[in-house]
Amino acid sequence: MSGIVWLASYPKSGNTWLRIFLANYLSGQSSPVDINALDTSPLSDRRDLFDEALGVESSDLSAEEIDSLRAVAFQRLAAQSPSTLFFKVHDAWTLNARGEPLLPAGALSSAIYVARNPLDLAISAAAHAGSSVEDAIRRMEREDGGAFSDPRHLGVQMRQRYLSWSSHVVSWLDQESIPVHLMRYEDMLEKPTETFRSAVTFLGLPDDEERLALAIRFSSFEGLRRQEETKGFRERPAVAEAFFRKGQAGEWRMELSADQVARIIQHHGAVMERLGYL
Amino acid sequence: MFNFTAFGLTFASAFESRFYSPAAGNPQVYCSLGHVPESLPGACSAGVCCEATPTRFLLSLDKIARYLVSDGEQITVEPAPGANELAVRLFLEGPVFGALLYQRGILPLHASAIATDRGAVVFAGASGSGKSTLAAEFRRRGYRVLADEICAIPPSMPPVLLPAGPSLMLWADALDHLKLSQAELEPARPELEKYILPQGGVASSSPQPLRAVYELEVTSAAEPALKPVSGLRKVEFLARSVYRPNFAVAMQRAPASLARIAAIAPHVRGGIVTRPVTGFSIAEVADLIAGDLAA
Repeated sequence: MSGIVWLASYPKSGNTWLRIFLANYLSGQSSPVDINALDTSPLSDRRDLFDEALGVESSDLSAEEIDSLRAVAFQRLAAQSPSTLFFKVHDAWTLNARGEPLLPAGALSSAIYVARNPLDLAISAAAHAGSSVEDAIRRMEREDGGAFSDPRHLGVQMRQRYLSWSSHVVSWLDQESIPVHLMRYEDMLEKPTETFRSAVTFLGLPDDEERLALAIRFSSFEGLRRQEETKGFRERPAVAEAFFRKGQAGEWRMELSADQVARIIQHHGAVMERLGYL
Repeated sequence: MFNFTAFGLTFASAFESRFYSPAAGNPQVYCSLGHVPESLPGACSAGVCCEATPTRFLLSLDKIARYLVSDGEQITVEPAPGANELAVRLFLEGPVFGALLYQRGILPLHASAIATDRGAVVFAGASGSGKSTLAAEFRRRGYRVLADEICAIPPSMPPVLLPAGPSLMLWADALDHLKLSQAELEPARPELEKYILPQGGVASSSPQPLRAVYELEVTSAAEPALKPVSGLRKVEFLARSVYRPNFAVAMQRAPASLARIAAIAPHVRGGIVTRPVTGFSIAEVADLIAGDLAA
């Protein structure tokens, strides 16, 4: 039986960046990992993984039935794996209808939570969804926010519940079932060595100076953008021009109106303050 | 008792089938109500909900039913108290039949299939990639549907497909896309907006030569595209379409499945069809496949 590490975030917060850093750190190779081969940290809501772990089709189950079986499905995947499993997850930390955590709360699980300033996140989320910034701001406020929740449609991913941006952050940071390590996108950008090293330490991986420097370089924004330009990125939604768009902090100062800034702060101020964004 | 035919087999069942055609003749498979144990001695896990030995398979679904498949000829079903019968039948005709095929030495593929004048064309791919919708589009163009969800490949050579039935299960938005009304259709189970599109025309039960397998893949590309798969890559490609590989492992049939795949590979045309998440029509995808088949 091995453990599961959840790489958790609200979408467009730097989760893929962290995954690519980890893929490079774990590979220890002298060339960058292919961004289209990130099988080391699949999305937790992929139907095929769940179906095979379960033995029945999730497409024959209701969303509630799926949620009641997700924890045991992940436990099985962990039981079968000789090494630690990494999953990307955008779901908030929620409870299923039976009052149990959606994700397994076993002693061997832990999480890294990536947070990003919601002022910048709104711009990135809009570009990712091909929507207006206004729409993205509204989506981040909805307590029933999520994805793949249309009951008339079978998506390749299962239903995900994000809640609002604030509730998402709080759900992960305040749950007491598994240890969680917080990383801020802005710190990954500003002081990468210190920030990524703390993640490596949290995961109990060997602290290797050279590997760390190389993995940070191989997951630098410019490197990822170049890879996407030449080979494309299979995780890019068709509506987004590029997945790796700007990779900056503070873009909101140029892009958001005063009203938009005020609205986001009014809605998410308490959590922004908690994360040091105010 | 209800008698119906699917996968080249005649079933005598306590449950009516919504997918398969009525049949006369001596049954090879019996499906009855009865007590089903909670576990199988000496079994290997085939998933959270199922376990198996080489000759027995148990599926346990909370609040729905427990199912036991024995020796490739006997299925016993014990519904949970108050279970919805449509749900009980849905899992019977899905994973339980899949396990039955394995027990009979028939390779199940996770795919839908249509009949063409030169044999069966199979659509594989992940759940949600559009296998059934594509089969429905070909059905609209006048092709016969041979199978949905599970395609049965018996051990004979050259490889053939044993037709299951002409019904398809489609989600509400796929029905909209195909301009089909859901008004007269029965849901697969009351909780789901997935409907059964009943048979159009007479079902065929005679084996069809296995002509081609196309795998559907959802990508970030802007347009649907088709890429042929050839040589040794076809083995790995076909192996991805095997139904519930964990079943085969628990039944100690995984090496036999792989050997079968390797034997089939040189006989079938293979192709990967990529499509965007949204903003495409299933007709474009069908056109690509029709073009490849005509080449």
